[in-house]
Amino acid sequence: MKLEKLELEKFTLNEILPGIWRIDPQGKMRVGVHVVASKELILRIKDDKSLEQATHVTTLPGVIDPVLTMPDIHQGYGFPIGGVAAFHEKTGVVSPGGVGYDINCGVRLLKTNLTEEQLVKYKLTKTLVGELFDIIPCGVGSRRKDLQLSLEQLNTLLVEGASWAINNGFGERSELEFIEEKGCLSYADPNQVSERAKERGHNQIGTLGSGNHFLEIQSVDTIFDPTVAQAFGLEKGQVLIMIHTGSRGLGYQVCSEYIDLGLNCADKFGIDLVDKELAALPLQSQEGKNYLGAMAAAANFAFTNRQIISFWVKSIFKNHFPELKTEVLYDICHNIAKWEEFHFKNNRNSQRVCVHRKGATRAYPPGHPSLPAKYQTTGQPVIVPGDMGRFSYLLAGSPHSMELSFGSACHGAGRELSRTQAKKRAKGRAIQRELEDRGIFLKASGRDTVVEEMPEAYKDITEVVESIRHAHIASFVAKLKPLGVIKG
Amino acid sequence: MPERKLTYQSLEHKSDSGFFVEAPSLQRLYIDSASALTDLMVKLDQISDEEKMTLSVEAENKEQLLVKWLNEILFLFEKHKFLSKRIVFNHFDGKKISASLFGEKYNPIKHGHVSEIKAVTYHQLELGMKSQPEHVFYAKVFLDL
Repeated sequence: MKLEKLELEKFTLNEILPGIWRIDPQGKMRVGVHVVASKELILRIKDDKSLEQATHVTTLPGVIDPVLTMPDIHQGYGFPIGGVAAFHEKTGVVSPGGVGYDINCGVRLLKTNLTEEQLVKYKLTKTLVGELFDIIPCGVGSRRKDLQLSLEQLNTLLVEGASWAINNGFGERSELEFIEEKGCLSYADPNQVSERAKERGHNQIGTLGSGNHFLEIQSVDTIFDPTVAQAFGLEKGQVLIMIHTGSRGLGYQVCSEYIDLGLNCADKFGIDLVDKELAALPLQSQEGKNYLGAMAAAANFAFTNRQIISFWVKSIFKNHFPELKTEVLYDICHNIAKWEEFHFKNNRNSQRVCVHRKGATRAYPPGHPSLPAKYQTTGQPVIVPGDMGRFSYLLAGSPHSMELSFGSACHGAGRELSRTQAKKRAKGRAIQRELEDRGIFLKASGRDTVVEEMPEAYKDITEVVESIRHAHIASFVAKLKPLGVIKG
Repeated sequence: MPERKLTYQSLEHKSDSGFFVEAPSLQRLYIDSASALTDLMVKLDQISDEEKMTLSVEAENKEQLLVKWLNEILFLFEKHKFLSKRIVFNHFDGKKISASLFGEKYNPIKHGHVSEIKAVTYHQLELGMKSQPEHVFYAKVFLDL
């Protein structure tokens, strides 16, 4: 297969492997950038600042070659959204802005033993959407009155993560195995989370939030790989539930405060910042360790949040289907910095590095020891939500994902239109009605969210996941279609 | 004396948004930035000023003071549902603000839907002064939504 070269105004991209393009280091860049995308997708983002932002990340100390961008890349703050960067344990840094404000914003996919046919037959989708909307708090500053935590309870939750929810009756212990890191980052330190962050978060557990967060009732539309789909326990027409939310106000506050700390310490640590949002702390410094402790605590909050929401979802469905059975297919993080092990060339032993995934997900290969026994032969389920009107995809991590992308893949479709552009495009249209005509029931707390999040505001997810498959990072398992959507 | 009308421009960003404000003094710039931020959530003219809250913020420099100050405005909204209509500075020196905020609690029936603003960022943050044709202080701020 012929590899191509792409000359953009600021960068030259050499295709080094099918669908993976390298930008060699220049100027202040310490390492190269690998862009995972089709030529068409690259040409569509060439005018925004996302590639430039990826090159900025390569200027941070201790960064490992290469910094990567996923095909859903778009311009963010500091790091691009869809960026992956790993840092050496001894010489590297952790960047609070590189993780992002919504720490461990992530996705959980629940399987049910229901079929789309059952929902259609009893005309239940709309009812369920309404009930889910009423029970699961969403929208700005949403809180749940019956789940108010004391400071002591919150601190325990921040240490224990999803198992806190299980210990308190929200779900089954067997579900933990199907959550990235079993729903708990062990280095969480609630003492590094400020009182302010705790004040913001303590009554937001079990809430969805707003913006791009959502809850969807979906069904399996197409199966691409019957063997893997069977291992994942999927059949065509089966009803699934997808939950997308994160650490809410607690995470936002942690991020803001540690960006300030990073900026205040930049001189002390001799870190030259080309963009303030890249503010970073050495992994070996006390400040860096404190951030990791606080970030992990916020990540545990998010794991717990998704665990509790999925428990409530089940209870609502059970009212209609007492025989309902659900299982967690998988639960993955989108915005995170984590200690992970990788093998590098010329080194027999694996090395512990700090991987930042900003708007990217983990996509571990078959046989990886951290995957549950059930997924040892298939690779990790990679959940890629699309927009609310089209499809979402379920992929499986490919054998070479560790070498190609630090075991990472794309996290969604990525925005195509800004929020203002989306509003212009939606003028005079009834988006909710348009979706309903296509059999998708939507309930949202405000019209603004509906318009800003309308299907056309996002890239076509199929193009995005096709790039991931083409680059041999993950393979297709199934395509999921939305039936009902709850938006904050 | 009639109240000065706040003017600001919304800024475009692919996944988020921001605002650009101009004001006749640095102090006024901080106040107007807070008002612009609030106005992006709930229109200022829909907020009454019957309740009072106080706020103190310290920072290393002017830029950080602006980001921290605005993040505190978000905190007040998230924690206390407080929307400020009118702000009076009791102390301001470029590194410290102590302020009295007059406003009211968010009421979804009265104020309608609010789009969540997660945080105020340092992304392409600008804070400066133009001296031509007259002294004007300006700030450009991007928000994480």
